[in-house]
Amino acid sequence: MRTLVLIKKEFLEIFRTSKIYVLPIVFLFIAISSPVFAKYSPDLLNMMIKYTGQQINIEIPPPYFIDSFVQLFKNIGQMGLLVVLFVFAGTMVDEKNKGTATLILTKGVSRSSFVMSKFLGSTIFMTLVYVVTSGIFAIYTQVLFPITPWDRGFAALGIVWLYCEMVLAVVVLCSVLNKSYVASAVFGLLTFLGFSILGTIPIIDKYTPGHMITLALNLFSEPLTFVDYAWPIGTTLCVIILSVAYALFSFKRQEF
Amino acid sequence: MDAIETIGLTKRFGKFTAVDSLDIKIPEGFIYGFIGPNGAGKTTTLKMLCGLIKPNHGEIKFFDREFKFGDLDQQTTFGYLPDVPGFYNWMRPKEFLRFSGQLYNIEKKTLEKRIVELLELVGLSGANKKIGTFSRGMKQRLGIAQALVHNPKILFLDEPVSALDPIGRVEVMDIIEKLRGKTTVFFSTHIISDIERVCDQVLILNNGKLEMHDYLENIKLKYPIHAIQIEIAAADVEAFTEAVSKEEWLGNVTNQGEGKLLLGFKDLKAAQVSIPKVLAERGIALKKLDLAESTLEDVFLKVVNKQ
Repeated sequence: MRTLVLIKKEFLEIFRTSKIYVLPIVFLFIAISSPVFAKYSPDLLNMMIKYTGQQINIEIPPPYFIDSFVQLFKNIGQMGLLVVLFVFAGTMVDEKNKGTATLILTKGVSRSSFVMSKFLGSTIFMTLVYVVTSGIFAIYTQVLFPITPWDRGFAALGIVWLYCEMVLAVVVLCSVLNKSYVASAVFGLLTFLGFSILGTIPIIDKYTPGHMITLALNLFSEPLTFVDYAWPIGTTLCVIILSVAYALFSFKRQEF
Repeated sequence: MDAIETIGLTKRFGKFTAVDSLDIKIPEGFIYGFIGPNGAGKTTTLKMLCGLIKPNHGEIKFFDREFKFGDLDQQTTFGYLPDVPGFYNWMRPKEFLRFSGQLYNIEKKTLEKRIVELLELVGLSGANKKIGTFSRGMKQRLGIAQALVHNPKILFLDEPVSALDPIGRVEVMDIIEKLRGKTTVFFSTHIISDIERVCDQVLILNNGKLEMHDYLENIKLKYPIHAIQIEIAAADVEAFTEAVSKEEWLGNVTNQGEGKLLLGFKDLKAAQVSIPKVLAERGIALKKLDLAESTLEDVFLKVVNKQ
């Protein structure tokens, strides 16, 4: 019951503050620009070559639906990650620094409820934004690339959603562990740099969360086995569970 | 029955002991002032009582029921206002009180009625703007309202008036006064006049230890006379000061000018016997001798400085 009250407050806060603009606007931009850019970038490139008058023979392959997904996932992996960090890095830090956590935690609210309400509230909001913008992306992609295989397309979008969820879980953990917004954001950024580096190391790359976006794209090009899915999805789920569990463990021991 | 009881309550931060084996018993229904110099351990004590800080040792009981760090049921027994209350600036006062009440699972109709009562009590009935635009005084008054939303038996206030201007201070003290007999109020402050104005009992904390706990009148009775004030000829002041400076009963001497001296003492009776003798031996004429009665501030300074 108390968790529900807190989640409701989270939503009110999102709708009454700048959070309601930042995440949807950036995700909407990514959703619309990715298929458009994928469709027209070869034409743009040809026009640029002609305009500069250079005699270069470049064979530009015709655009394909997969380019739309490549653009989308690349943008989510960079711009999307940064905006999730920026929007949610203060999730717990703000409550601690402004003193609102002190008032709430003396009202019979468990520390677990408090952290979970933050995580669930942010998850619901991010998922809503992700679903709506994915729908817009799907419409644009369908219009521009009518032969898109949507069964695999939606599976790929689901895999990337899980990656975003992991970003959120780590950001909430960083916000619990740190005392300032900047420290929380930097700590989160360093964590993802770490994941990215792990994702570039041959042999282990396939087993890390950093492989999730590659996995989503591989859905369209290769026949994948259970093991191909299981490792990155499994490790991503583990990171989510461990992040939330450690956030709960740490917050229960913090003093205000 | 005691509303609040602590047994050997101790909190250490590294090697520093902020609160040292604190034993207090607070009967129900009075207003208690918790005073002490900065760093005495007042805020740490209040935070332990509210479950925000985990004690290293000791027990806390509310109405004979033990309260442990992380105990949620007992938190409904009290309301708490920190020294600088934090609010969601985008909320309006009614909304914040509604949110606070919902956290206590208060039934909707009862809560709405309670919100109206509380806003009236704290003088914010007409304030419907965002909390972010509130003055510190208004925030402090809203802070008291949120602490009272579930009608607690105990109200903890941490320096509720320290950041306020004189008007804000009076307003908040008036609200505390109105709670007399309804709620056990336990508030920390370093403003002695506020304690004298509203408190029934006083607790003096120094270096994490409880130095004194009694009714205001009893405390003054323990140290009824603060100093001896004498008036002699201005020309005799030096000779008299020199003569008494060797006396064992003497505390500090304050020259107030124009022949007036304020003599602190360690032993009142010895001082009363000795002063006329010193005056007679030196041939100094006494114009006036008065016993200066202690104020709470004098007692506080005496206890804290161990004079």
